[in-house]
Amino acid sequence: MKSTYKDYLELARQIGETPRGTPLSLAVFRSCTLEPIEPVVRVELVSEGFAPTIRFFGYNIFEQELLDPAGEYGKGAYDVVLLFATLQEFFPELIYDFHNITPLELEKKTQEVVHRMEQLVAAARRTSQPRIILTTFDHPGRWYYGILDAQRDYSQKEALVHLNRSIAAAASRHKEVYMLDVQDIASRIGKKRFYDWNMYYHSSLPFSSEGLVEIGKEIARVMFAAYGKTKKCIVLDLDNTLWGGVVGEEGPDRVIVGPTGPGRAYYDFQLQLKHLSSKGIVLAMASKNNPEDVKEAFLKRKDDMPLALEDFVITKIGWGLKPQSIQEIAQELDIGLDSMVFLDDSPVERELMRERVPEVYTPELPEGAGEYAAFLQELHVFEKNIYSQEDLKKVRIYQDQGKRASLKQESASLEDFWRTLDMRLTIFVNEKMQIPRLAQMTQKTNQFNLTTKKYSEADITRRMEDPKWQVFSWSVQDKFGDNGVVGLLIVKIQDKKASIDMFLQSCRVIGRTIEQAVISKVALYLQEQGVTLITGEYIPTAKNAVVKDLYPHLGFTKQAENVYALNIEGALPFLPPWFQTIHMTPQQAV
Amino acid sequence: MARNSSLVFEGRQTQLKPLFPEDVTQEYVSWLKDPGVNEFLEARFKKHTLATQRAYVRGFDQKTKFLWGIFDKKTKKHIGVITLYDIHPMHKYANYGYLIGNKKYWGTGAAQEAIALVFDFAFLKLRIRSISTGAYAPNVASVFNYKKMGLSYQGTFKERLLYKGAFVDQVWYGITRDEWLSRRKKLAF
Amino acid sequence: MSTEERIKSIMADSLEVDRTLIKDNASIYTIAQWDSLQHLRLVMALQEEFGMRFGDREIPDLVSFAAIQEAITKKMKSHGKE
Repeated sequence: MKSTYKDYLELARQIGETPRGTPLSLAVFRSCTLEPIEPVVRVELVSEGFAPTIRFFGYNIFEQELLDPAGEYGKGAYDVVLLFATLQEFFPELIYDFHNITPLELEKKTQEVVHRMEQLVAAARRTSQPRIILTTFDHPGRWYYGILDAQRDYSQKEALVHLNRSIAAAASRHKEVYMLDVQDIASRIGKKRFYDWNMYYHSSLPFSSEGLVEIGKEIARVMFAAYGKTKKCIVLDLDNTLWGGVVGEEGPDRVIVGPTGPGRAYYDFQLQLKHLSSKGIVLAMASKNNPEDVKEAFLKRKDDMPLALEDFVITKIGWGLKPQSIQEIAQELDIGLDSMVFLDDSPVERELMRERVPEVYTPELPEGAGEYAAFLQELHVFEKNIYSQEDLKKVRIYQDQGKRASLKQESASLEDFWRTLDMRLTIFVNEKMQIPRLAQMTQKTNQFNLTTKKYSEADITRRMEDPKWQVFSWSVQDKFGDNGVVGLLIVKIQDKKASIDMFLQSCRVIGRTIEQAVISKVALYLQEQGVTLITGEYIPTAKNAVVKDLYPHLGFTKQAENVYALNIEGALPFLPPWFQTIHMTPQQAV
Repeated sequence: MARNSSLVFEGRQTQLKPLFPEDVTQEYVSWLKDPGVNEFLEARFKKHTLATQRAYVRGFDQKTKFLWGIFDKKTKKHIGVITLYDIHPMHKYANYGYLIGNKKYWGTGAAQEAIALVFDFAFLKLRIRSISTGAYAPNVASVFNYKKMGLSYQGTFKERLLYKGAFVDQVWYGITRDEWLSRRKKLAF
Repeated sequence: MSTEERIKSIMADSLEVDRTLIKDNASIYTIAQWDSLQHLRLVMALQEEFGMRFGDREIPDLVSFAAIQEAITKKMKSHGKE
């Protein structure tokens, strides 16, 4: 989800003139038209908590403006000065005259340009101490000698490299002078897309809108690095983020990760993370799983994974809410929430995180795991590569609240969250079309599974046809898509008592009160059939600790060890009102 | 030629004063040599010195051919020039041209204000009926600004002007007195 | 979003005015802050949004909503889009 120039224009409008944040003034000197970049830089800076003032000085008049004591620059005191220089104005001979110029003259001129840049730096710091950003030069066209350029003793490409290196070397001799590598940006997206000759011809703006966006983001990135606003910690989900599949369901041998085959995507992603870790970025884990499953997986598959459990400085593995986990991680590491990144394949988890802890940077993940590694590389951990409505929400929330959001444990706000998911629940009764899926679910579902019985299709068919049994199943759609059939509840009815033989649900939709809604509707259904009591048993396994206390949560009372009952003569279990719709077939919707 | 105070105009940020040969400074001359400034000017084809520029200014009699210096009202700095010339006594049409040499004043509205002051003088005092000016077709900023002042497209001379090694169209824009009178009310100055 | 709405919202964002001010008769004559720099931003955003290029003769013509709409619709037809 790349951001376009238009997106930045829109976001800049919504941010308005006076966002809240750390004041930051940027003076831009340029040798070409560059003003249209303003909204991009502004949005990027605001999203990191700055309140920027950006001022463009006169067109191609560096020395005049910098040295004029009565001028606007002299009067103001800027935090950052960007000296955006282009070859066309600073060293046109390198482009247009290369065939005429001798190596000696070239070297002389190169030194002149470097000297000029140093003088500009000095001029910018005559009366104040701003941070300074210099640009590398790029040759937008084709090399004069074309394909032979690389073979010459004296090549244009090398001359340019030498020029850029000399400037970078000079920059490194001064404190707080940073390089904006325009040449690198151009090669990243390709010169064809980066430059716009038309625009340059009639408006002296050499860059396309795409080029402007890239430059703007890079300017912001350099400034974040200068201000130390880099991200320090990445908090990662496990299932379908670090490997394909759900380890609690499929077991450590079946999750997809490895140096060959489809697991390669996850392997590369882990490798990228490992590199980041060796650069000092802290890795942490927040996963809804059983700790033993996770430990086992990292042990058994250690040859297939670059990351080991020890690479994660903190792991929060359990069934609690991830926003809570991230808060704990931040506290334990003693770092700010705004220096953390949260990566999770589930759009629901991401949305919840953005809502509850907006300071944490929660980017959208690419559709396929194959793109995770590339995505991470571009992320640079302090560059916003992907801008979406979610990011705008974060900016807005930050602006509106102006303080940290603390996690509220009252159910009220969580309910609001569930409401925003637009969940549509459909409960089926004895739906024969689903038999294959239901049988498969009994085989594969291990975590949210109260009795862990395995049924064949024939078993399920028999239950559906037998009037003493009722087979309930349900599917859920939400605003992110259709989750399909996600749950199964089988009851046996005898003497006005319904005993739950099977109760399972896909781990994908755990924690959204769907089971609460299902039990409530099923109880109503059974009540109308004359049932007065529902009983259920919890048969503990290594995998299903997550439902250990499910029955009490649903309102059942304990009868014996792991045996529970719910009286449905009078009041029925609570039906959550935050579902968009709940249908029960063959009965009508409520 | 006496300095005619009736030819001095004041706007919000600029002041226009007729320019005389002795007012020509090195800075003025330097503008004509600055490629950023003279990109679309005839001036770029010629050599410029104080002497040549003084001779140029002398050619304006300030009665039938006018040349004003544009000055920053506050600092009194000379920032550009504007001309009104080719005034036809019978047909009452005229041409105008301008340049803001001091780049600090680009995009500040100084040019628009200077042009408005001259248009007021031309249309209201001299009773001129129409004013026109030409532009290099690739100079979209210029053409945009003409439109903003209320000028409208009059015609094109195809491939008439040499620009960056190729011949480009010259587009003409013009405005009548009535059009100016109705436009000037809406402009910010 | 209709073409009309796309154009108008881009105009609002590039010219930095409220969307409600972009009426059908919006032009450089009705929107004071629409100057040559805003125009540049507008042109860049339009080119990007509609995937088209405007030549130097067309750019100064895009000075009103009506003119922009006409230019874009024409270009879209000739590209076989819409």
